[in-house]
Amino acid sequence: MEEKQLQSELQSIRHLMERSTKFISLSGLSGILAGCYALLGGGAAYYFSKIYSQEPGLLQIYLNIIGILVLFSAIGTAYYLSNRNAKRAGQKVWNPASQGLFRAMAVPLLTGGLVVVILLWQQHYAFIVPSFLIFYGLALVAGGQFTFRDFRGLGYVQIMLGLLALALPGNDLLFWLLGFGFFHLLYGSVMYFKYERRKG
Amino acid sequence: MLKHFDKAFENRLRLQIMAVLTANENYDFNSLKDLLEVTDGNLASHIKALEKAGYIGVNKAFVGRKTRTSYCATPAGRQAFEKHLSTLEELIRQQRS
Repeated sequence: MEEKQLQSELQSIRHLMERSTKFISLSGLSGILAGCYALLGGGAAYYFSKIYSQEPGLLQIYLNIIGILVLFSAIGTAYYLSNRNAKRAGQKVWNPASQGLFRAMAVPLLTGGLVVVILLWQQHYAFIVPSFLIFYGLALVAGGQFTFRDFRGLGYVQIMLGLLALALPGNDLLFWLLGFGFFHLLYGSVMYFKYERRKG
Repeated sequence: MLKHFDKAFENRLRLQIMAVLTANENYDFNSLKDLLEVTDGNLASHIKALEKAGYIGVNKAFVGRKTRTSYCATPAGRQAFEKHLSTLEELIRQQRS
């Protein structure tokens, strides 16, 4: 065998090992869109908090609805676009790597979801955004081994922002916009230009 | 040098199967088929060969009414695969110098 042949053989084997363990169809574009939803949601939250400043009960309900809408649009978009990416690559979206990603993220995400529900129930509103950020960050870090390395970086950023939000109370909206909005946009753009656009 | 190459990995698909199984704890038949883009029969026959060499182990489990067959690399299989890769690397290094 020629050197070049050997080298490309070795490379294709390494690539295969990487591809089999990591879910690489995860869409960067969905990160960008998730950031947009979060920014829009943050804007709406600000707007509602001005209008309903006299009715905290009603405001809380509206804020919850906005949060849920943002969450589900982001998850739905990520699923749709990743599915499309996987199909383009001739792969299934539900493969061992994506199952691993899902399982790794499920525990911190479900725990975080329950923590937020309990905080709402106990009316500790100040802890909601920090908890959201921290648990979301933990989920990203946990899922990081099953997808692009950059995923974990985004997780560390979210955890740090969550801790900062906890240390500097009263800046929930700012940290929400930074964490879910700005950094999603940044991460999504980096991923999109690094991995997706190149493939055409 | 070529005599160090493992006979079990003479076929490219077998090397690919082994690569996936060393990189993962276990991998099921259908996912393996999708990933490597091969036919059932082709994959099954090469898996048999690796099984016979003692390089992979088989697990059958029921998911609902269907059987889910998954495979894992045995310690001997892992060792053989790593040796094969390092032989490849060695060969590249030798040709360079």
